[in-house]
Amino acid sequence: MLVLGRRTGENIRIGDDIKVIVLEVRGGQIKLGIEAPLDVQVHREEIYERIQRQNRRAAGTMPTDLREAARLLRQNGRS
Amino acid sequence: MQIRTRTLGAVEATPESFLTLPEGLIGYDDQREFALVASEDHAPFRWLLSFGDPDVTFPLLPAHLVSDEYHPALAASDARAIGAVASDALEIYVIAAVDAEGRLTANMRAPIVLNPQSRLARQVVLSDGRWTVDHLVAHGNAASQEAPAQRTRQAA
Repeated sequence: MLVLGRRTGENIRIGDDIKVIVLEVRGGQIKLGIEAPLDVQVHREEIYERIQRQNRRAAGTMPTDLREAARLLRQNGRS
Repeated sequence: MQIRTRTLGAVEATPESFLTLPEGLIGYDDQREFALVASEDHAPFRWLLSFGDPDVTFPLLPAHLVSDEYHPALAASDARAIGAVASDALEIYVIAAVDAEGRLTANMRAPIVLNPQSRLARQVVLSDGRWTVDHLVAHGNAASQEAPAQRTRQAA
């Protein structure tokens, strides 16, 4: 892993078009600004992992399980 | 055109159902080309099926069926990524899942936003922490369906 020391207001460049800016350092917290192209999605790691896990779970949904859920939704008038 | 899937077998999909997720889904960034098909057996769910991988089959719900109060704020970069301008009516879906206890949940934190004009879609991550990745939509068994009624009786 590359380790760089930076102060408030200093930047890091990743490739030609990603820039990470150190906006504020206070206590144990760092506020970062990130400039990246539109096709690069930037997320907090923990939310990214949660979504990834949930996507994996959803991708394997069995049609038989879904049929029961669909029946419940139609029963509740949600269709 | 037929899409091969592991759990649903061969599924017929017409070109109107095709869509592209230019960045894939989170955790599935190698899959870009999909079809969104309705299924009589599973209505109101639809299946988001990958052309490239028979194991990638996502059940989706139109978001408004899950909650009337769901109005996700779309970032300008998200709208641009699917070629949307303000006047375009976007379709919002959430990915559903059934957990081990048979509960139906929906990922309200990361909906799939489709621009029906361009047929481009993106899984958007909302910054609004009120919505979770496993929002409870319905319980899967009779016992849990009765629970609210029992609570009412105790209160009375």
